[in-house]
Amino acid sequence: MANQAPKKAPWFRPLKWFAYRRSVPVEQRSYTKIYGVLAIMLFAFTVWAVLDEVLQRRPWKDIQADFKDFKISRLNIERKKEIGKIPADVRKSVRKELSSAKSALESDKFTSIASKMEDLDKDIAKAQRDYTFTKSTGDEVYYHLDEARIHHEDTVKLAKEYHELESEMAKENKIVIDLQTKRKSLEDQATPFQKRVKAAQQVYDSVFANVIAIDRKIEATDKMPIAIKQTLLFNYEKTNFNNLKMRVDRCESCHLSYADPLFKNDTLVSTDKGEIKTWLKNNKYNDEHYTVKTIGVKKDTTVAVVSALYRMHPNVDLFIKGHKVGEPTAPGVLGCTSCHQGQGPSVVSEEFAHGFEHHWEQPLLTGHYTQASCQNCHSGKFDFAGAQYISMGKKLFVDFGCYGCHSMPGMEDWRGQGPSLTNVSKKVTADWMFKWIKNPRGWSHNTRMPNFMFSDAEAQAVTAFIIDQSKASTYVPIAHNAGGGDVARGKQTFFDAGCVACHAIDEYQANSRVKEANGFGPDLNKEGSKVTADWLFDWLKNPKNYQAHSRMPSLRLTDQEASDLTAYVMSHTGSNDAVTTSFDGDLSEAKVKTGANLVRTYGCFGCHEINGMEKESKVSVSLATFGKKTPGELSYGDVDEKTLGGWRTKFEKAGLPLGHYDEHFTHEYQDWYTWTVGKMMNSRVYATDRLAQKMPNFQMSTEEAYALSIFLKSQTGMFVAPGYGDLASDPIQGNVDRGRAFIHWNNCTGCHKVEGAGGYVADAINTKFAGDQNIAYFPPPNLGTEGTRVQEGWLHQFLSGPFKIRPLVKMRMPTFGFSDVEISTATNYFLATHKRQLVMTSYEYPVNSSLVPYGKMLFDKLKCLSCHYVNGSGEAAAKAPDLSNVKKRMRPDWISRWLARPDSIMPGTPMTAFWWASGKPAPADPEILGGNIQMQIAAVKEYLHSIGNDANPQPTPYAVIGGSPKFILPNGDYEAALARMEVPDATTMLAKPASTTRAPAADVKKQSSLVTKKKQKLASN
Amino acid sequence: MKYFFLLLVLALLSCSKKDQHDEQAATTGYQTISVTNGGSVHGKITLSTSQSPTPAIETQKDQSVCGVSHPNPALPGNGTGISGCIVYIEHIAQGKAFTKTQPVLDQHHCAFLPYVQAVPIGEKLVVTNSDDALHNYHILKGTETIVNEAQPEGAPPREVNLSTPGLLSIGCDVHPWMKGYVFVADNPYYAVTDTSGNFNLKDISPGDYTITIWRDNWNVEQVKDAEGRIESYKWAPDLIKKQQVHIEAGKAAELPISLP
Repeated sequence: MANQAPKKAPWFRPLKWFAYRRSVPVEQRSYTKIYGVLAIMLFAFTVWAVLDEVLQRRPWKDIQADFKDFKISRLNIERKKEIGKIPADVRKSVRKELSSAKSALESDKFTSIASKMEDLDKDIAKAQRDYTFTKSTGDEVYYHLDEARIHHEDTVKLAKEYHELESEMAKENKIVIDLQTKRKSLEDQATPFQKRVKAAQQVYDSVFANVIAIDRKIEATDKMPIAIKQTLLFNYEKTNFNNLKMRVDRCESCHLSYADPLFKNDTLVSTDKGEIKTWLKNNKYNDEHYTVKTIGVKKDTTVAVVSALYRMHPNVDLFIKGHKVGEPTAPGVLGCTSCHQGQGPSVVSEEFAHGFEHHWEQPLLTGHYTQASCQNCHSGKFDFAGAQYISMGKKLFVDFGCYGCHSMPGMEDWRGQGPSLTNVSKKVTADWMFKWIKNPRGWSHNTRMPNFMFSDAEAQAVTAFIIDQSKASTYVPIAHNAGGGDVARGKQTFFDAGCVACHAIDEYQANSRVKEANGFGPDLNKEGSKVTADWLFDWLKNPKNYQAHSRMPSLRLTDQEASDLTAYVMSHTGSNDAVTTSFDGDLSEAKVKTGANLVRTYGCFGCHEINGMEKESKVSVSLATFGKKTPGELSYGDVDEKTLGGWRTKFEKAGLPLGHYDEHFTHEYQDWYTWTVGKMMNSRVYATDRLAQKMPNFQMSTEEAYALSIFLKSQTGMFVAPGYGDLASDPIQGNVDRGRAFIHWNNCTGCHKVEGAGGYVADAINTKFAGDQNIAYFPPPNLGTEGTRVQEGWLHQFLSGPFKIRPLVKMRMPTFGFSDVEISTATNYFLATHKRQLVMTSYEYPVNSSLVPYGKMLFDKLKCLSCHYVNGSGEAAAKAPDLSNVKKRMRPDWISRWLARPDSIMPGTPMTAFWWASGKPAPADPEILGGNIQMQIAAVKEYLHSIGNDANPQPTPYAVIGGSPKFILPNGDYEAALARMEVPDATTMLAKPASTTRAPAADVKKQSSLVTKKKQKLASN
Repeated sequence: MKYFFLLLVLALLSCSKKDQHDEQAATTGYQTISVTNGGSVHGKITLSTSQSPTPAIETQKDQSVCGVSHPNPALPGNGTGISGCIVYIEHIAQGKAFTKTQPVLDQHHCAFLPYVQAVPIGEKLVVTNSDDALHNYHILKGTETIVNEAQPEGAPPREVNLSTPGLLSIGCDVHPWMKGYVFVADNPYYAVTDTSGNFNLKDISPGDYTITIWRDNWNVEQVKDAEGRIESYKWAPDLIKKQQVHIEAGKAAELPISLP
């Protein structure tokens, strides 16, 4: 059997076929069939590859084709609308005139004229040719004649010939002229026809201008090539070898509508389904263009949301123009993936392009999670314009004191959020403390102190320890309440002294746990049951006595004011509603020791200063790259699929959709987003019998949990290339960032508007006085322009010990007791928001004494003292700042700009514009200084700088013209006086105010202009 | 032919004018339609209580121009009717076209004249100063300053764009007793009551509407400091009343209103 030769077998039994083949000697074996089969396979695979590449892997081609059709249909709607705007009769008459003018060109009359002109043109050409020929012959004859004349030959014959030719030329020329005259008369007949068409066309073009523009757009859209569109981000990211490399974003190959205002109205919310249907129909949306959802508690509202392929990016001015997206490629231009993530260069499929693919580390951030990207480039910001959740999340992270237990880049050395406990036994009772530790929110709903879920025994022990460690406190009140406080007067003082800017009480309740506005300081609704009147009085008079690092400032209260306030605050009492047990009074050593161990385990010193625990380290993990964690790195405990899915639905319903959930790669709703919000809402939810969890419960609302999860999502440790984000190593940006943290830490925004946000106490004033302009309650100033307004030295002096600037205004700038470092942080911040650094500058300069008298005249004439004070004197209703210190307080260049156009520096300022009216510069007085605006401003400025100088001389009239004195300077003095004084001229005054908050844009511009220069240099080489 | 083009140009002009109003509509959402057989509402606003308003205000300043005391601008009209009340329909989406007006505000004897006026949105308010003293027109919406410009004696008339709808109050920081109001209407259904307190709103498409009535409060407290100098003029808060009205086609509804 073994030696038996295999039989020949057909090709469809390959094993037998190969066996037979092996029996054939090598020399005789044929490879034809094998090669044939392989060749066919190679061909088939090639065809397959080409087809797959061209048809399957280029979905953007279909999308672009669809988009073109859709855009054209939308443009046609717009076209219809534009036509509708032109009254029908106008439309009709304009069109009629144009068509009748055009048809007149085809009338018999015009065509006969035209054909006659055509014939004439031929005749003229022929006549001209004849004439030219004769003239050339004449020239030739003339040459010979001349030659003969020179050589003294016979000229008679030639002369005769020449004369004959000359007369012929004259005849022929006359024919040409006659024909041309004829043509002219015909032209005159034709011109009105043509002129009419031209005029009608002009009218048509102007009436239908918008329609024609749309027609052009339609044409351009139709001709748009189907091609990949991309943005190049130069030197954007790092390779594995640490070199900078380019990133390519091709998102706009499919998202063609992102900057097109045509697609602006992309969402409709309605309770009427019929309305939605009509809207979709009218806007030519088909089924693929939108999704319809129901929202609301009773599902009674329907929303039609148009697909991202057919809608405009929201807030284009801020997010697209403000971030230089899609501009002609230049360094610093951000593409789409900088904010949205995803796989920029991929265009093969939606999943790949969006990075919803197992191996892609940065999948698309959906919904509000895109806001996480703001933090990457603007790591020092707290208020992100147009991104409320990252702002809220970041503030909550700071305000909940998360960095006390978790290390976080940039917050390593921050002081803890909670109050110091080193003296606490002198402030509250042990029983209050016990109840507070047991359930803080039972005392105050808005507190940021979390619930550690202690058992009664644990809480007893912790209380015992806390009381014990502060027993050695040496705190004694310095100020003593003499009594006699009046509750009603205290309530008034609470408002007048500005306590409402930080604390919630009575009608001023806080509605957020973010440390901002009057949610900043402790809620005082039950304060009377927490502290003693003696302690409170001393605290009000001098907060630093009890707690050296407290953020509570001194309001420079008189004893009367302080005891009134004490009476008012002490009248607010209450109890911890959630705790029924009490402190047992046991302070035994064993119990204190148990308490100390608990405090060490749970890391109370992360937020509070505790005696003997100053050197403990953070008790939990770093969150620096938490946003990058994969679902596999998180523990879900015993929480099942149903619960996790339920959270996802709950957030979705609340209008706070969690990030993208990919069924292919995530099991049982175990994804990053669900895990994080679950943990935020209940920090111990993933604990199991064997895996205890320590994190205290902040009991966050869905909104808080959501905002915080967005901030945590931003913690990816992503590299931001120079030129693409705020560079912390840039000294100016560093100053801005430190300042922003300082502002948030001290709640400056409770009173002041800073970088366009804050100023919340103004709301309380407006509510209290309901629109009545009460001069004593002028809101605190907007600090947006502080860095260009005041002198650095003055600011330092003011921050170290504030004094009254507006004599009548009741709310006062408190004394914070800032250290020199803190003051320079603030000063540097104000300067840095205007791209400046602290340089010791003297603003003393020799006052132009010839202008001073004119300045004084204007000062009186313009009734500046109606609102301002000078040296404590002014009118009773004066509400504006005291001007006697202007020389030491304001920067001289700012005074001129301020006088010229106060509203452009500070929109909404109550300062009157004296040199500005009806949108253009106007002299404040027609006569003084010849009505010269710049000179008048300069004069007032010089006068203000002379206040406090020895003498203010009286102005003398320069000339008496027509009986009345004219107060003008000799001509030559004008330019010399103006040259030095930085007074804005009319052009500067007309210019739009420069934005003060858009600092980074300038950097980018600078860089790109550098590159342009480089390019130019290269080109010229 | 010439006439034809002349007509055309006129037509174009009127067309562009219409566009301007369309633009107004775009900002306010109000749409002009032709109202045929619309209804109207008229009435008289009367005083329900017997009050004795502050008759005159002390000036203490520029008395050669302003006088020693100043008549309270907000005194009621003849009989029981209240003049200078603003009556308007809020949130009306479409209706008759705006009537063009040329609003003027004069500063005369340290008072704003007229004291109350109502103007369609988008108009320009011409501000003149007929006094021999410096004034400033400080225009506020609530407590927010919209415009604050000085106008010295003899200065040419000024123009202020009225682009924010709602009630604007005008004051003068130099003469703090001066007070005036401009109501910027985002639809043409508004009126200021005449000296007898009468108003009439016409050409309203049939339907149910809310009519809002505003009147200034004439009670003023003159707060003085220890030396008898006036610190501030505290005006009692304005009064606003809302009333429902049903408009039927071609009929005139009567709406008598009494205010405290």
